[in-house]
Amino acid sequence: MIGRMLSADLYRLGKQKSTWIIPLATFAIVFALGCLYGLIYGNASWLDGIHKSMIDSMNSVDGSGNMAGLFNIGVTSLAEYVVFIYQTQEVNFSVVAIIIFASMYVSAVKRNGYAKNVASQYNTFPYNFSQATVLLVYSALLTFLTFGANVAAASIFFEGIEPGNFVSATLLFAVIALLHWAACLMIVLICDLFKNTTIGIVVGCLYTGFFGALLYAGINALIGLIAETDFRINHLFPFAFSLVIKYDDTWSYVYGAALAVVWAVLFFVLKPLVRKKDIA
Amino acid sequence: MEHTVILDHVTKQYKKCTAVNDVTTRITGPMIYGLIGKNGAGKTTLLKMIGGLASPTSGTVTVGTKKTVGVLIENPGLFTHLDARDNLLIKMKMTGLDDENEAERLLGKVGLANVGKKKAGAFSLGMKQRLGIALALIGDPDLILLDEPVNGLDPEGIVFIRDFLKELRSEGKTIIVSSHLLGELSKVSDRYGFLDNGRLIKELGASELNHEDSSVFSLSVDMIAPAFDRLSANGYRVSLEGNLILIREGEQRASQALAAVLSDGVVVKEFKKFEVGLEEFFLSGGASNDR
Repeated sequence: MIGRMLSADLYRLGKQKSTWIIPLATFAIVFALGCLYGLIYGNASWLDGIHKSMIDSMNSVDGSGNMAGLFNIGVTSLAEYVVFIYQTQEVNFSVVAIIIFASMYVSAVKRNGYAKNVASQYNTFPYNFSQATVLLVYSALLTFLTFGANVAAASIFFEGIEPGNFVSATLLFAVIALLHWAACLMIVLICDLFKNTTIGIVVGCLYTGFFGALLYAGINALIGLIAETDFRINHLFPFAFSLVIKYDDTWSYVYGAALAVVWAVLFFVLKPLVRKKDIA
Repeated sequence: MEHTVILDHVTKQYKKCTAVNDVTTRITGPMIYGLIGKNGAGKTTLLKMIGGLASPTSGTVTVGTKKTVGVLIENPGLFTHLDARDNLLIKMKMTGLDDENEAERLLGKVGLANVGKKKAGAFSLGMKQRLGIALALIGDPDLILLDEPVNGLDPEGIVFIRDFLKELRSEGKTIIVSSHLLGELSKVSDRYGFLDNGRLIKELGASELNHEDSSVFSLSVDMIAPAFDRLSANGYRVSLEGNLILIREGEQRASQALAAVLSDGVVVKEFKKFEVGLEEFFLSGGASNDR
């Protein structure tokens, strides 16, 4: 049954233009943004300065704002291109792109009424599993694509940029992809809950964008005022945690992956419930 | 092959209205069952519950077929950016019937063999309806539910649907079809269910429709006024149509009415029976009798 659903979803993916347009557009935007940073800041001393301040921030005991870590394990190295990626905030673009794709893709069957044709399969576990699998693959694709766009831009403007440890970087972005996937599953639930794709996309953009960052900073400051703790609101929400995941911190990766799995499980539990039983 | 739909005290309650109210019936195919009612009578809601698109608030719906149920309710749900073949293949892959030849066969069956790569969004209403029927036929269902299938179709499309329904019945399928075009339903249905305010108020077989309760007799006499007054006073359902008295009664009652007129010494010029179509029956309130 799952195989049949996957077959149908892959066929559908291959037939629609947004499958290719969204990744291409995201790549182009992130590459352009990277080039802009390179043009404005394109010198080694800027990168060195940012590099050092990021390491200091990650190692700080009380942590500040979004960079507070879950475990205060010291970070001794940080690949320069990773620094660059965090500065250009490319993670925001990739997750916004996948949220837009996920909201439209998952809700299309209900919006256009095709769900009436497949009523007996609609919103069953195999159906939801297939859709979640498609979104996982798409999330990974977008995350690594935007990572590649940033590396490409950085390589043009920063000569001899340090590549760092390939395995660490792959692990880092694999966990980020998982967290982005969990974030888009959360937004798909919101689309279902409000029976409105636009609301889901707006909430997703707020969650991942500038206002979301302000919200995290505000709540984290409040938590800091109430109790001296390393806990941050970022530690609970998948996208928010992807902003603080620490490079070269194994426990940070494990926690991030576990957090993504928890939200994915919540998706499978809540999806059949938030949608009313009536398909039409 | 016989298969049955059983509705047992089925009710569908929404916040502001009761769309279907305590409907109980048994539909045993193969047959074409015509579901008739005014706008808002509950036809679509009832079809949705039979098709599994909605759950009853109370009561049970039992569909006695191991195959899928084919459904075309309201507008056909289509991926408008895909062509007809792709729309079929997506559902076929979901149901494990991934066969491109079968997709082509279904398109040919509904008259869409030559649409090529045209996107479904560019289809006319009639073409969309045909594609919706093709989608409903995937998996060779025993039970097919069609909600207003001829809405918006041109005369050629209506004839196609009518002949198509007869063909499906000859293949042993049960089709439950709702329509406002009562004349069209009367040409194909084997049995009728009349819905009013969510209640199934009457069921009739096609042969029963031409039975006594649904006949009209015309009576031409020399003295219309006294004859009309006599019949009205005796409780017969009569009306005046020009210089004719129309008697809407069964054969036995109509004969009694004729005898009453004759006993008054009225000269009868002509006494004739008309077959009442489904539309006349529905509009004349013939469906308002208790079941």
